[in-house]
Amino acid sequence: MGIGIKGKKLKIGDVLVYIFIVLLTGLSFMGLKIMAGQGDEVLVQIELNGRALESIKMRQNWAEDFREIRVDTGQGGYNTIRISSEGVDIVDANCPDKLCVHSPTIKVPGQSIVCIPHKLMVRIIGNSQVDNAVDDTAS
Amino acid sequence: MRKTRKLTLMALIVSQALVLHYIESFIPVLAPGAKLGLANIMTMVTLVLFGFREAVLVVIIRSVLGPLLGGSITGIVYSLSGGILSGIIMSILYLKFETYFSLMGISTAGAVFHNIGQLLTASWIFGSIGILYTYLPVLMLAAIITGNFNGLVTHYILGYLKDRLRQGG
Repeated sequence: MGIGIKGKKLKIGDVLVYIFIVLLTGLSFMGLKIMAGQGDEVLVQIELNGRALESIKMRQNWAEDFREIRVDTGQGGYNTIRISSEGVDIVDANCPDKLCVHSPTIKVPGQSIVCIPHKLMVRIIGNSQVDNAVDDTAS
Repeated sequence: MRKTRKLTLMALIVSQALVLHYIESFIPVLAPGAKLGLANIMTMVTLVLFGFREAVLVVIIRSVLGPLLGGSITGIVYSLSGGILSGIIMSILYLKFETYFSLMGISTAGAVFHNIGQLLTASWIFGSIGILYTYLPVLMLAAIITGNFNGLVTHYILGYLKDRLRQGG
């Protein structure tokens, strides 16, 4: 049938789809840059159900702040977060999908790791957006 | 197409979408959060064979039943938001601009908007737009690969199905 042949050829619209993808990816990186802010003060914030549980002010040398935090997310759930010289990573969790454990380590302000089933989020906040973050969590 | 025949076909399509949804949870993927989105093949088949309303119906039934089969209840919100958004976008592209898009392009656009829908929902639930731009780049790359694959599969399935369906009346 007709669909058989014409469905496979690359068309002008497909190119538009790819341009759209490239634009979106570029915008995401720009968003990351903008939200990152400047200044050398960096916070690692752990949020549960949209409320800040813990905010850790990082020192210049991340190795000094090495720690592992086990967050009890309720109903027997937990996530273990490790802060090391590599950055912040969720190393263990008992959520069903384990997406947070497989998420890459984050170190740049603006980045975040989420555990959707446990409603847990770990994010890195740069100096210039610290105030915003407090407003976010207060509401 | 007769009513009974349509009902039977739709039921078959939904069950096939569910099986694909279940099977793909056993297939490992490179990036966290990325999925093959095989069930999207059945959405596209429905879209081409029946149309917009039926395609969205298949998406809704699959999104509600899928997470119940394998996954958590919270998955329903994400499945629905991603599925409906991608269903609407694919319908617009296929029904209004079919001459400009191949099935692979439509499928890729569907994958892209599926991710956008889910990430927007996550950003809204977690109250941080940061989720959107942290996860978007890697998911976009995955969408190009899975979207083209699913589009190609749909193309071959339709080539086969169209002839069969004509024979059956």
